[in-house]
Amino acid sequence: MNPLRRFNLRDQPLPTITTTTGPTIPGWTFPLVQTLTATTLLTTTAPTTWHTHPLFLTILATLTALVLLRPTPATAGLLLTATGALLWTTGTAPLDPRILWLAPLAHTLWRATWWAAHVPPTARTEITALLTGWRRTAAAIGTTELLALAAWAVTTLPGLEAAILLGALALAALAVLTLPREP
Amino acid sequence: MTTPTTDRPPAWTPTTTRHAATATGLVLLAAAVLTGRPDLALLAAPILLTTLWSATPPTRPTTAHLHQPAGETHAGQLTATLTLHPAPTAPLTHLRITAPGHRDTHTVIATPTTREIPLRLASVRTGPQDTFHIALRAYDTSGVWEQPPTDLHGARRLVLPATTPLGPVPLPHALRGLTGPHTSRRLGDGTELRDIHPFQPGDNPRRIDWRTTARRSPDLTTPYTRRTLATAEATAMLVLDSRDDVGPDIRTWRNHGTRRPDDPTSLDLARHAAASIARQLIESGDRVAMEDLGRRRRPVPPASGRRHLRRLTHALALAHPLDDRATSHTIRPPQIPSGAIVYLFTTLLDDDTTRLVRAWRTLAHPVVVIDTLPTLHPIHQPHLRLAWRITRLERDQRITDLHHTGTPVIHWATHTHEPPPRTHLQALARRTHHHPSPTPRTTRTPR
Amino acid sequence: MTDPNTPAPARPLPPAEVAALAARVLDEVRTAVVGMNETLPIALATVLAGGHVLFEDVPGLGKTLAARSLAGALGLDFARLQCTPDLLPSDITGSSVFDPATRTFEFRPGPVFTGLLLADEINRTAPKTQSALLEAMAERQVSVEGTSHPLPSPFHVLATSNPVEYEGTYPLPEAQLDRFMVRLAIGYPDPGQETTIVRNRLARRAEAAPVTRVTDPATVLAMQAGIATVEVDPDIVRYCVDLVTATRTHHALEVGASPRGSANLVLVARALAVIEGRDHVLPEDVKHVAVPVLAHRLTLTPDAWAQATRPENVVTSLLNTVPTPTTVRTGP
Repeated sequence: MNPLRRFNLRDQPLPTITTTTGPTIPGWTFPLVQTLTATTLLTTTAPTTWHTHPLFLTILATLTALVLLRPTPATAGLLLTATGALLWTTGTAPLDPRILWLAPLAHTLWRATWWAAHVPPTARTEITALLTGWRRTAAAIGTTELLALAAWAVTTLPGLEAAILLGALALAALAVLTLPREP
Repeated sequence: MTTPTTDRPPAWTPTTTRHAATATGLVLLAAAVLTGRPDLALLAAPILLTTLWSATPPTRPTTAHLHQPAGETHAGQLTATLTLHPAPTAPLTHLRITAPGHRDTHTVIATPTTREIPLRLASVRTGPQDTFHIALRAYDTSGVWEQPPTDLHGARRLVLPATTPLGPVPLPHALRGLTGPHTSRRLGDGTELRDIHPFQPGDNPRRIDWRTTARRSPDLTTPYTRRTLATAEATAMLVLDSRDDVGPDIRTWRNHGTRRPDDPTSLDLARHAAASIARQLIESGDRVAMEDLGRRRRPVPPASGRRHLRRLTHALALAHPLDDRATSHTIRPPQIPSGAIVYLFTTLLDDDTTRLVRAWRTLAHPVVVIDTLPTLHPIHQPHLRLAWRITRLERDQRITDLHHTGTPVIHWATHTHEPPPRTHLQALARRTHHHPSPTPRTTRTPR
Repeated sequence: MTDPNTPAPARPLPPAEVAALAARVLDEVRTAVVGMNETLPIALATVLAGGHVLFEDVPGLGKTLAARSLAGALGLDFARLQCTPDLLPSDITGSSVFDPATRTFEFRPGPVFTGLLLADEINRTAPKTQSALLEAMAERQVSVEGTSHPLPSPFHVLATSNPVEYEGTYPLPEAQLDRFMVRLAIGYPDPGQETTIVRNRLARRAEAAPVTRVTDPATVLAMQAGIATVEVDPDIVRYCVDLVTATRTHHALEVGASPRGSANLVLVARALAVIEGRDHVLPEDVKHVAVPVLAHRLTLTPDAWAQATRPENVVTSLLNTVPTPTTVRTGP
């Protein structure tokens, strides 16, 4: 007989500890959201002709599996960079209007990866916990959308290069600000 | 009750989220500048913005304390309240709550302000029980800062057995004392009339029956009094066989594996049975003593009263098998007060208890054996099934022997379709009541 | 016939004289009793403070001998009552006897009508009989068949009880225990003392150890009155009250000591101070008698009881935590 089976006493699952919390969602929701957002980001930014290409499908599966199995900020960043690369190859220059919904989707993937990294699939997460800081997220996404709209407006006007440079400088300043500083 | 608090929680530490966000932002930004495509930079903008927002860590750590209710705990009431005092900008708390025999519980909850989380275990076990162990982690809003896990340990708690109201229970044949709830056959202070007798020193003058005196001694030289039967009390000795504790799953016997906390074990049943019988006896005014076979310590002396019942309940809850040695060494028959009835709570899995019963029966103590073996779960392993078959045959033989010596055996764990143990106890009480002084029937000597 | 309950008011003896007499009584008792250097002065102090003593320890330590010798040296009327399970209340209090000649009932007083009653193995008798002693101890009178009979004065009960033997014992109820001013444990003698006990027994060639009478009932009353003249510093009274109040909030105790406990604590401490030749009470006197006076008045919680906590240890821990007064005058 299988020795593992002999000592497997858990014919029925063990009882749970009752905790009284608000409405919750299970932890496996986050990998699901990750899968959906990752495939959406990669397939929509890739050319439609690639969708059946075995190489693309392999890359798609690898990246999605990577972000699922190792849900770290680094893998999420890698996936976003890959999305950016695809967007560069397929998007309409100088600014693809799909960025208006791709940017919020990228943020969703980023947060879902964070949650998946911290919450095991069997855990429960309070819905109010998910919604904490929604104002901050809304403000960030709103700012991005405004920037995108402004950039879109600017790209249709003459003097494009100067505007791009200006925007790039502003974003560089933002990136420098986010750099960790020693206290 | 103890209220453990997270002592000096560690400071907030940055996570890799921040570095990853900056790196991704810079890469996409560089790509945007090199390719002249602002949309690439915009892809990383929300991430950079939210990360920037959480540049500084929360000012103070999140703390918690576990409050366990004071007072007595009964089976199924293992509860506690976790109070969280979160840091101002850290509204996420991740709790990992573990308890012996329970599945680990992971919960992420929102803690915008101080919050209380009620916790409850599904355990129906009694006796000393380990309770909650909570690991706590806190995150800030965007997950950039986290507080390393801190631990909270709930105190070990003593769970008292519950009691079930019973009807009449068997009493000893010989009642003792001069006061108590039962009428004895001795002369004394009571209410039941015994006879009319000439007045003796010590008789109460108010008990003089003047009508009889006038008839029998018209010149009033000898007053006659009504004498009554004394009242008496019964003494019962509860003997708890706590040398072993077996659950309904035969694979967990002899301390293998983990026992499910929602299955009462033999000792839980014994505690429940003993507490119920003690309550019935004490509520009717009798005296109850207790002896623990698993331990060498002074027995609980016979007494009555509500406080004594509480002491008995505590002593029952504290009875537990000490080590493996306790089951192997032979036990000495505990001393029983003369004229007391013995209630023995045992699983009847070894010969020691039947030997004890025989010794008590020789001393003319009535004995009631309460079989506390739980109803076993189905056994799937052939070798265990064979082992249990042999053990069961031996046990059945012991029970038959006990029946032959006139010792009733009452199974405490009964199926729903069987009559409950109180019915058996009532029938037994009725039988001993009708036959006040039966001698032990030893028609067939065992083996 | 004079009413024994209201004797002529005794002339109080000065404390120094009380101390001298007490020393002689103790010396006389020590001719018969070996050891018990701690317990005998407290027992005598309790009698002189007007209280009742309970000796509780294992058999064979000389509890009965100590009680008997104390009664003999004090010169009080002595009656011994062997408590058995079938002892009836009327066996203690006395009962009516019918006189056919006069056709009247005549009250025959029981053993309780004495100066010093030794109730041996008091926990072997039924609660009903124990409670008959209760009235005698608290009210110094007995009610038999509706009539109250006052007891002589002085009246003291020295009871012994046996903590080990549990067959056929009835633990004294809390109300009854509270009536005893002190509960004394005797403890085993050290090997030297035990050798002396054996040698004395061999030299005596008899079981009984006679003691000479030192005082008489009137002198005992005068000694009691003399002790009552000693003033107690208010700080000492507050210390006693603080100690007793602390028992009511202790986590291991379900019921703390009663106000009778704090009153008795002061009374025994004062009597002990006088016996030791002082006319003022020190905090050390209170500490010395706190365990015998308070331990038997405490009821442990079932939890503490099951974990074998002892009330004596609780009192000792309180003595270490309750602040001791420092402003008490230390000399005349």
